[in-house]
Amino acid sequence: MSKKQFLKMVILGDSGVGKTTLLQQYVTQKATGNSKPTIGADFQKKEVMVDNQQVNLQIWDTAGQEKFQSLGYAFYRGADSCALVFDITNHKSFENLAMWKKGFIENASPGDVNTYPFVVIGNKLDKEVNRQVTSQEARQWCKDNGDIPYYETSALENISVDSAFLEMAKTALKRGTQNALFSLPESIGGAGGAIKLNNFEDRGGAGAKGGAGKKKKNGTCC
Amino acid sequence: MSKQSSHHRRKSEVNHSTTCDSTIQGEERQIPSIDILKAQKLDEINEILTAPKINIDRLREATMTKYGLVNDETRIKVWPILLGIEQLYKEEVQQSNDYKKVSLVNSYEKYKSDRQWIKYAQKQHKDAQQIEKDILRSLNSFDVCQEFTKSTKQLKREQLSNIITGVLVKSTRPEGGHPKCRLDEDLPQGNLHYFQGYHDVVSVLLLTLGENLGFYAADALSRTTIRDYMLTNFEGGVMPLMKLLMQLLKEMNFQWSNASLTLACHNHLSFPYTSSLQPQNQIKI
Repeated sequence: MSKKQFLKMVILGDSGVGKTTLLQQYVTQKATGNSKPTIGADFQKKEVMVDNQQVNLQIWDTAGQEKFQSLGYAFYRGADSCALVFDITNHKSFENLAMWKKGFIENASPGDVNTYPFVVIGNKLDKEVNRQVTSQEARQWCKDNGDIPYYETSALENISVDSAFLEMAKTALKRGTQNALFSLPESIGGAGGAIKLNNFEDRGGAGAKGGAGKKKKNGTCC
Repeated sequence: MSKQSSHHRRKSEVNHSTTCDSTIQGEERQIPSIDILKAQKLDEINEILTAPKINIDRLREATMTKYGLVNDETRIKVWPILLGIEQLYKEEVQQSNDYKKVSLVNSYEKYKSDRQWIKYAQKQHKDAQQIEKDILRSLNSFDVCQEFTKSTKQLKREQLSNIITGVLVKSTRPEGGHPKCRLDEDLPQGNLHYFQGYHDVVSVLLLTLGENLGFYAADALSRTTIRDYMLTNFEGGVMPLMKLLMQLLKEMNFQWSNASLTLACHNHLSFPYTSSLQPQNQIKI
């Protein structure tokens, strides 16, 4: 348990595939399935232990509507990992993964695209009966796109949600975070709820100037 | 009891409320209760409304000062005036039974009465799928919706969908008139386009004003206040607005400006700060 790490992640995918519910389940272990459409973007924080290391995750939830994409690009920058989410009961949302991936690569400047820590999540496993995308089909797509890890989850019933996010954190850590620029408050509007402007600690810590080097935060907190 | 407190009591009785019990011991002064302050606010609004000529600026100011418009009863009176649809609505009420008169005045009543056409427009509109997804997730978080039965919520969602489609389709005929086109015709491109979150705005109007008046309010609001968000994309209206906002904050030396600039590194972040509606707060004004 040497130093604190900070990782920024983004969740992308079509409207209604369950991005907000996934995040809600992961962060609060509660999912009602009654989430509101995400407007603009929202984010949540979670502290996890990965390989004996304390990691602060800042996970960005984005709006699914195409109209919001030009705004969404602004949130991609500096992301250490990206989850591409589709709904297994909606084939169109699977077909659009390529579009989301492309948009991310073009706007996040993620460095070497082949080693970038993407994760593909096929959500709504609880609606298996209505499945339109087979696991095989999804795995093939992941393979063709640079061996992206694939997870099938149910955000509603908390199946494999933790492991998907943990995978994102692990691969991101291995690759090394490039993020030292983004510093944001605890939460903003959108699906998350009230605007809260606090967390001075994070502002001081993560606001530190610096390039691509790994960020050390032990000076300002703990 | 002092003269002042008896005055308070008299006033509070009129408004079915009680005076504040928080009299500090040993002090003569009594802090006016929230109910009294609200009653005073209502008096102020009524004074504006009953004046020979309504002072719109004062009315607008009243919506923004403490306690807002206080209750839905007042909102139903004031919002149409501020949106400039008051006359329209009065006529709508008077003429709603006369469907032979084809005019903008009763167009919503006509539109609403044609179920087949609504169903068609709700499917065929270019934003139809997105709207449907959002309608299915609507009316979950407003406090006033918490006690809705399943069927009430279903009904309200239908009305919400009617209004949204109605406004978007009507924008294909900006000069007014019945928005209807033939069922085998493609819907012409309107100049208002759906954005996620619009359904929240319309929800507030629907829940406060009801379906008919809610439609006219949504229509007026869409063409004015929130028009920038309703263009084909955000590049045309919203992005420049965000840039302007940041500049204004800077000019005002508003402490927030520094904070948000440090926080965001780029001005786009202000979008969710400024545009996301907090329904719970909205409805409790």
